[in-house]
Amino acid sequence: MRKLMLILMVLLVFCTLGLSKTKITFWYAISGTSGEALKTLIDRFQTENPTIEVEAVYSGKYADTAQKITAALAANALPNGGVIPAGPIFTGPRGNYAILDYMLKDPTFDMSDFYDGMWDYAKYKGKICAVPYNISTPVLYYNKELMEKAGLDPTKPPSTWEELLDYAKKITQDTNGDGTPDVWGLNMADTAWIFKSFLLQNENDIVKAIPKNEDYDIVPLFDQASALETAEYWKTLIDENAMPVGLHSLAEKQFLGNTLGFYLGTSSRIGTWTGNTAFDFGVGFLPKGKRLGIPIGGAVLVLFPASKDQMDATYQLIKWLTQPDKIAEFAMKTGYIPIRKSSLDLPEMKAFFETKPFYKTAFEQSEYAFSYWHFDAMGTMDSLIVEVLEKIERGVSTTKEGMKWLQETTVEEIEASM
Amino acid sequence: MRKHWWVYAILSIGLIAMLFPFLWMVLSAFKTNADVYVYPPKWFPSQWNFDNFKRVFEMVPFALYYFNSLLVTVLVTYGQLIVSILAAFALSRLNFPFKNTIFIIVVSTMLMPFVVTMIPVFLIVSSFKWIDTYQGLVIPALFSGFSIIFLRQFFISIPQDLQDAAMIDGCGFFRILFQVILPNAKPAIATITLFNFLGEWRNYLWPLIVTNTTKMRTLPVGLRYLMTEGGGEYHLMMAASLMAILPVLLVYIFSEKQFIKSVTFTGLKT
Repeated sequence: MRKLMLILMVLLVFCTLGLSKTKITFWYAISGTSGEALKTLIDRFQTENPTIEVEAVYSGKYADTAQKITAALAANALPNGGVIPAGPIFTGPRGNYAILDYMLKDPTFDMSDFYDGMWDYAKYKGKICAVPYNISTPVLYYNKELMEKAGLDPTKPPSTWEELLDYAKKITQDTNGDGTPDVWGLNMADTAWIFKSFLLQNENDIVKAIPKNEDYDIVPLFDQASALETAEYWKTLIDENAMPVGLHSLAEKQFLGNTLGFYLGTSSRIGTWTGNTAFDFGVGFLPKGKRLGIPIGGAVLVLFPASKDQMDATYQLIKWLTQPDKIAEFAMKTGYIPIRKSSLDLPEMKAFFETKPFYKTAFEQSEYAFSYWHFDAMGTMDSLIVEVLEKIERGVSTTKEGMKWLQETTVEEIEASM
Repeated sequence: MRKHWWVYAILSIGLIAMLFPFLWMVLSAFKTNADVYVYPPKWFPSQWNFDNFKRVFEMVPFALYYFNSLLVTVLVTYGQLIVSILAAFALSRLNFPFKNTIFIIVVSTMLMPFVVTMIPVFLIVSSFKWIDTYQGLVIPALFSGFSIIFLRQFFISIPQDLQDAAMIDGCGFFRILFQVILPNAKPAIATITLFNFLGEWRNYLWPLIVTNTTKMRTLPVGLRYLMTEGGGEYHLMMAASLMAILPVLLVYIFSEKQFIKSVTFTGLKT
């Protein structure tokens, strides 16, 4: 009888253990079909881990999610984790490096399988405080029809700066003879992102961190000779009519309207544009300068402080989402680039490349991805780049003056944000 | 008619400019993604496609969002109307200490953009434990400087003699408000109802910040979810927008006459 009681009690304990679920909330800034892809993954995680209940909630577009997190930080109403843009800004400065501890203590989490450029993107003051997740890179879209019209070989997109300038010049046409071209060679919507790519390609990193009393100073590198060269290349593109002055916000429309030869922009357009254009287009690597260089963008996985059970459960979800096969599945469904090397070796990925060769280009660029640590004034820096390019394009400042101003103003902004 | 042909010409241009985006939305709701992007643009879908509406319901709990939006919008619209009528009556018809100071404070709230007050309001709501509740969605929206001032200006224009006459007949403040002021202020009230309804129906940022679960979300947040960060699925967005716009159309149709009257009265429009 006593034995029976004991067995019953043990059973009871097991049952309650089995029934007690750890509930976590998880915010994500990914929407549309990409959001659906993430939701499907999280649902699967829940069936595989019945002890964890994930309340996954869309938190608005990037800028709104940042506001929501700011409000939640102030009111101490944070979720347990999420896919958060500028994630390291919300963890590192508050001394929250918990995710790194988890990864270091976990022998089954292979951090070296991530591309080198990725981890820098998840750092604040040199220390990892997030995990890269939905990352995109800019690629070259080329209009085969316009290349052919300009007497170029549509199977050979420009692969160097010289070719890009040369080919784009040839494509630019004033078809109605009113003195201003209506077909352009080159354009891009996100000038700051592309200018940063050019800088990286010219072996000029964007910022550098200088150690200072156990802390770091972030110093922009726009005052280097190679940065000035990059700005001069930009100006040449304008002067030689390869690229329009201003008009960057129209770049996508120009490309879709068959009036733009080369569009430099996010790889996430591959999915939306393929099969939807009236002309044939191709996707290539960004042309290289002295080297190939691709800056990355996107959001990261973060872990916010909570009870140990909840943090354990959230880490489990983060780890599950970043497994090579899950990363591959997410990349194939969304067009975001795979952040792990081994994802590219999976058979399903190889089969995918057979049917969708454009993605191969975009995904293989990951190897040349660069990034810098997150810092508070990084958004301001990007708007300053946009501003200076506009001044240079319109001839309001010379390249030299412009880059000097950019350097000085960025330094001031970084100091002000400290 | 013939004398004023140019008036009609100008109005027609306005009409086309207004109708164009609306028509584009209605037609795009039935297009495929490829049809939306095709260049040169096509007015009509190459084949009428009703799947978009189905997809919207699959991607977001549209019915639930609809319910939440309706509930919150109705509560905010009428709640704000009651608060504003009482405040406007006090500020226009009663005399009490610091009346002008209070009026200036009310006016000054209009100068403050919402993003500035958002975090403090969020902290207050959070201290009441109202995050992710209907109270959190509705109560902070009950006070509106604009509604109060709009109604106050209208109440002031109602002749004082009417009020005096009512007082001689023995009316108290509430009867003056309900039987003298309100019947004379119908157009203003209809207008403010419409303004509030429209404003709350499309309110996106506050519902996004204050709600954390899918079951508390409203339509604008759901609509945003249909777009990816880089743009994209306009056909779904248009289908969802078409469904989301119906209540607004109904409210407008019912209050149109009053609305127009009031615009001509006050010279204000949205």
